Amino acid sequence: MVSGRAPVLELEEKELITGLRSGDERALEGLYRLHAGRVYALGLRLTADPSRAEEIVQDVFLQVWRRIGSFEGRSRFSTWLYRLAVNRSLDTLRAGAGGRREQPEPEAVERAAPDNGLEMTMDLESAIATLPEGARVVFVLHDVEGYRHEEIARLNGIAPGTSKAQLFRARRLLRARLGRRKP
Amino acid sequence: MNHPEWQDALDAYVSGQLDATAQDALSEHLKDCASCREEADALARIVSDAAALPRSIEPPPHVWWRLANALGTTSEDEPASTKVVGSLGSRFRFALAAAALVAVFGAATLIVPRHHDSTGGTSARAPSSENQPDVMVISDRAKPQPSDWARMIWALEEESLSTEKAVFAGLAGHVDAEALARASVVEPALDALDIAINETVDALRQEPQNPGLARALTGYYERKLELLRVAARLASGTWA
Repeated sequence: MVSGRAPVLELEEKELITGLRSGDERALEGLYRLHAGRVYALGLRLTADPSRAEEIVQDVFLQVWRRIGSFEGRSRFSTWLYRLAVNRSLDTLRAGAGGRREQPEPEAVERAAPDNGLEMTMDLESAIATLPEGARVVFVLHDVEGYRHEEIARLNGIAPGTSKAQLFRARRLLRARLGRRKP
Repeated sequence: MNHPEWQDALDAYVSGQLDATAQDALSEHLKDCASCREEADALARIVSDAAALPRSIEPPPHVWWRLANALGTTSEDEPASTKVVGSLGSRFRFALAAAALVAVFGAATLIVPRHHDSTGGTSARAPSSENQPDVMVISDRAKPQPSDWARMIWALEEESLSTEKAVFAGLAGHVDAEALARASVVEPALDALDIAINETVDALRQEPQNPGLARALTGYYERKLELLRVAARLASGTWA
């Protein structure tokens, strides 16, 4: 159990993981507060759909709750968690391929993104959301999240060359769509 | 794109994945080729901007409440009540905003928040001045605990979302051009409630045991809910 009555935000991640292993919901809340933003950002950018991103956050943290026993601690918890998030997001996209939802308006993605006052950021977020799915996934994983082509290829079940081609396509599409940006 | 033979090298170049020999060759080419230089600059800017995007975007507060509810009610299947209602789209927001115009400026005095006690009943509200926030009177016996607040807030938000959905269904076919034109004036008023809700949720994250913040959050949700109900009545023509 999470010790004492300390607010969950003050607890270290290691303590939270220990609490989670013993079934303490407060520990899950603490980990959610630490990592939900990153999971949501990843889901939102990969799916370009705020509703799907919310579902991904819920599902990922339900998985964390149920599968914490399979986390052996060899890697960082965040690495394990974000891998769950990437896999869940890709599963969502694959599941949607046969019955794709209506593509959200760019406005919906802009509204979900943080208002940090940078028009550049909002423009790029909107442009990413308009990319074709394959190009968007590779661009987000490579240029935003820092994955390598070999890893993206393994996650997506594609060849590394396909990943490179999708990145090439994504950057050119973004360049065309952001062409009128101010320097 | 005057030199397609350089395009693959440009991609590797902006990713920092070009070997030294190839980089020297490309650098020489860029000295003399304005179009490839422009292309390289544009691609490099996209790559650097992408890397600088915020790594974290806070999910809406209802995501946590639904997750907490799911954990409390089931261990395997996500209950129907935790399904995300989803964004309702700008058309609804505009239609709702048009209806709310009258609610905000013409019927504000009729928006009377209801307050619930921890058992779902209605509690009395203490007298308050115009400048003081409403304060719910809670007996010691019924004083909600943090877990009770979470349930109350979640229930209010669920009700708010389902009401939004119902209003959307009611308004979808009845929005005229005039109502849509008024929407841009009222949209900020509706957004203000959502902003207040989000800010209160952020404050609660810092002080999760603060009952005043929990009370404020339930109050905001109740006001939003009342506004939605007013909008529904306006749309259906039942507003007296």
